[in-house]
Amino acid sequence: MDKIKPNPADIVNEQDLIERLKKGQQWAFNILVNQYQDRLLKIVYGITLDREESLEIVQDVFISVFKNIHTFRQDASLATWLRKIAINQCLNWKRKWKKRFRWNHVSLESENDKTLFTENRKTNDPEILFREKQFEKNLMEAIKKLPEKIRLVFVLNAFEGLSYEEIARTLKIKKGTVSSRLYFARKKLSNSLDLKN
Amino acid sequence: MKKQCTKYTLEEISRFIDNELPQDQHAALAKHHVHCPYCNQIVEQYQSITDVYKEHLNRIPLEIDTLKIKEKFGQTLKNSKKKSKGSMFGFFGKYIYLKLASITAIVMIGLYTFQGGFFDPSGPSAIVKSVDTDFASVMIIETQKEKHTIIWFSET
Repeated sequence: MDKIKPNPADIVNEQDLIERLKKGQQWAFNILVNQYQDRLLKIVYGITLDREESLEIVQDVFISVFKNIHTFRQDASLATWLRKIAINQCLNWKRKWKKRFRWNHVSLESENDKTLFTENRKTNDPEILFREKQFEKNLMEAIKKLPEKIRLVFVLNAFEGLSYEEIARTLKIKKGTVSSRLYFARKKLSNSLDLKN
Repeated sequence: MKKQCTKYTLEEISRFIDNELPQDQHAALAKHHVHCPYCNQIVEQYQSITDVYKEHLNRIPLEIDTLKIKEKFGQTLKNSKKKSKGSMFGFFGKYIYLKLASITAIVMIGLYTFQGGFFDPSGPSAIVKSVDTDFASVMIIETQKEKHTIIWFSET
């Protein structure tokens, strides 16, 4: 354990953070967790759509980073590396669950709390609020029904804002496959929303 | 749904909102959808799907248990330190008796060679030969007066 903990502000760049992580400085890992947990949690939640699962997976991601930081060759940024680990953990996690023949369904509304639909609203009109809430609920239900490989591409595009090229590289698939999966996702989601509204 | 337009496919519209169409095609579709209610509806629908989904993810109150993670970090750190400690003192860890015997033999041979005889003439014995391998160590010792041979063998 480090006796002298430098001020986190002293870590000026990613390179510095990586070097400290490679030295096994635990406080550097605390900074890593603080800096990246929010983003990773959202990516993972976007894929799994399960709150508890996401928390567990991201915890595992950080532990894995802690153990394997010496293998990080810095071909890409730290964020890219973390995202890749998170995606792999998600996929492995799903495989593990499938192997155990377990399936749990948690209602989106119950798991995400009522606060989800009450913050950051631009309007106070109850009818518009209700419609927005309904749209979001239907959309999330429809996203949950998408095949995982489609959802994965959709998260990387919609939330991470990655280009087709970047998604293709991350998932080791063709650029054309990325395009068709995104089109499939949008078409499916649009159809589901049309049916419900 | 508005009257269907077949000028662009849904996949092209999907690529349009991701800015993945070639520049000229992008510009043409951008011009077209403003005046085409059908294509405009698709564009808006696709965009709102992305926006609402993104907003949904951004509003989710998620935070990992940092205490739990610190605990795991600590455990991993302890284990890795133990491991490195193990390798640092590895020399004394495995085959310790063989190694100690080898060191003793080397020291004794050294002294014998450089001082013209390690033991006092009245001393009990002298090493005639010593052999060290990875698995065992053998020393042949001869007593000074009686010239008795003692074979010392150690196996790990």
